[in-house]
Amino acid sequence: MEITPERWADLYDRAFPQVYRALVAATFDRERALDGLQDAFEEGLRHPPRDDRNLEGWLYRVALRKTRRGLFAGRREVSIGERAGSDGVAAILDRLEVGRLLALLTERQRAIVVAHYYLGLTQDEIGEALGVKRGTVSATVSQSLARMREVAK
Amino acid sequence: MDDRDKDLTHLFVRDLDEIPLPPRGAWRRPQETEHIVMRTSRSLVTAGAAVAVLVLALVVGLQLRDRSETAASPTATPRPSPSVSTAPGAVAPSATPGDTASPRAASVLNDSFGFVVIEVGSAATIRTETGTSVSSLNGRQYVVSPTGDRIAYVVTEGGRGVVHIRTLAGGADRTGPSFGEPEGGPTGMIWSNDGTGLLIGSGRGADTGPVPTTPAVLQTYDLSSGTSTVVATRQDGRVYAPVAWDRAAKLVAAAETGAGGFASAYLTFDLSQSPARAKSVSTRGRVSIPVASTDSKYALLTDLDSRETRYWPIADVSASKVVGTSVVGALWQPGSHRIGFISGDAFLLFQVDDGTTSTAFRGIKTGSGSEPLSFLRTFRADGSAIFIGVPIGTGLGATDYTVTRLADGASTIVQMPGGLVASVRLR
Repeated sequence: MEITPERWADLYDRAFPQVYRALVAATFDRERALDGLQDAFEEGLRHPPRDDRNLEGWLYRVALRKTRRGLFAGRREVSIGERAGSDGVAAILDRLEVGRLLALLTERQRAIVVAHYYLGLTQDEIGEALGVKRGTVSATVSQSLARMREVAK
Repeated sequence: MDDRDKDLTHLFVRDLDEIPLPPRGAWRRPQETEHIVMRTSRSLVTAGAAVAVLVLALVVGLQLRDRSETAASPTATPRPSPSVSTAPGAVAPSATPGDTASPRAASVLNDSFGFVVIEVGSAATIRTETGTSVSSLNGRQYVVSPTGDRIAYVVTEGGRGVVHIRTLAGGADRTGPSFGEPEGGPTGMIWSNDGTGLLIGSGRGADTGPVPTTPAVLQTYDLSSGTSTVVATRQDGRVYAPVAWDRAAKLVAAAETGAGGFASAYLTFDLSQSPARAKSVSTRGRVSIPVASTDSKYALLTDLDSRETRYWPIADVSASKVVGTSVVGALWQPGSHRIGFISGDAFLLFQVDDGTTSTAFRGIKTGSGSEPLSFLRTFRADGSAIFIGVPIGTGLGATDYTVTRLADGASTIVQMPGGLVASVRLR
C-alpha cells in the first residue's frame, strides 16, 4: 500500500515510542534522539519507505544516520555521569539494569546491541542500517555481551 | 534466537520501555511539517522552508525549502510594500493573532489571493482566502512563480517525475521537463526572477542509501523554448538545492546538500561564461538551505542551532551580514528586500537596504522556555500580509493560521482543512 503523507504520519506516531527509546539508549542523549527522529519523519515525508514492513528499522536507520556524525565520526563518548547535569536521561538509565550495562559500551556498540535486543532487527538489517558488514555486527554483539558479562559478574 | 537471546530481549524491553517519552506535541516539528512538503521542494528542493520544520520538511524541508515562501513579486525591481512603515523602530498598530475575528477581520481576507493546501487524504487544493475551493493539484513540490499566479509542481507519470506548470487564472496546465525516478528525480526547483524559467535540481543523495549511480544535475529550463541546459553535475552522493536564477545577470545560485538535508556549501555559477564559472563556499553546522529574495538579488540562511540568520548579495557570500540571533522564521517579503521574522512575541521586518528593523506587530503566541510556538508560514503572495501558524495538535493539518495585514495590524484566523503550503494570486 502506498504510504501517503497522512498514513506516514500515522505510522510514525505508532512507531515513535519504541524507536525513540532505542535511540535514547543508543545515544544516551534525548535531544539527539528526538532530533534524529524528527529528521527521519521529515525524510519519510520526502521519500517514504516503499512499504510499512519493519518501519521501526527504517526509522532507526534513518535517525541514526542523521546523527551519524556524532555516532561514528569520532565524537567524544559521553558517560552517563557526565551528561547527568544537562539531561535527565542519565538518572533514568542509571537505575535500569540495562542502562547500567549499556553504559559499559561504546556508542557504536550500543547502537548495534539495542537494535538487536530491543528493536529485534536481524544482523543483516543492522548491517544495512549502520553501513557495516554482517560479520561486524555479529562480532560487535559478541564483544558487547562479553563486556557486559564481565562486569556483571 | 536462543534462550539467552530471549532473556536479553525480555530484559531490554522491560527496562527500556521505562524511558519516558517526550510530550506528544514534540514528536514532530509541527511548524515544519508543511515545510517539509515544500522542502520536498527542497528535496526537490529541499528546500523547504525553515522556520519551519522547523526548515524544511520542512519542511523544510518538505527540506527542501519552501520556495513558495519567497515567491511573489513579478517585478525584478524591489518595490516597497505600500502598507508597512519602514522607519526604524516604527511600530504598526498592535494586533493579537489568535484572537477571534475583530470587526476589521472580515476585510483582512482577500479573495484575489488564495492558498495551496495539502489536505489529509486528498490531492492538494487551491482555495481562496475565505475558503472557496478553486481547483486541485495532484502532485508534489509546489513552487509559486514570482508573480504568484503560476505554480510549478511535479507529477509522477509513467515512472518519471514530470514538471507541470499551472496558470491559476483559467487553470491552464502545461508540462515541462521530466526526470527518471527515483534516482534522477527532481530534488528542488525554483523560478527565475523574471518568471520565464525554472532552475531544477535532480538526482538522489546518499543520505539514506548508497551513493547513486546516476549523477545529480543542476539545470535551467526555459519556458518559452522548452529547452533545458545543464549548469552542473556531480556524483558524490550530494545533490543541488536551487536557490536563485537571475536571468539578466546570468547568475545561478544553489546549495549543496549534505547529511540531513542541510546546506553543506553555497555555490554560484556565472552563466555568461562557457562552461559556467563556479564558486563554492562551504558552510558549517546545521544550516538551512538559502532562500533568495524575489528578485534574486539577495539570499539568506539560518543556522538552525544558533538561530543566527545571515543575508548576502547572491554573488558574494563573503559579504554576508547578520540579521539577528534568536530569529524564528526569516522569510523574504515578496517584492522587497525585507526579511520578516519572529522575535519573542513580535513580528519584525528587517530592511536590507538600510539595515533598519521595525516592529510590525506584537502579540504572537510563544511557547514555554526558549522554544517558539508560533512559526512563520508564508507572506501573502503580494507581501501585504503574513500568515503565522500555531500548532494545535499532532495531526498534519492541526495548525491554526492567523493572517495579519501589515498595513494596519488587523488579523483573523484562517480556517484550514490541511497544511498551508503557499499563498497564490488568483486574479
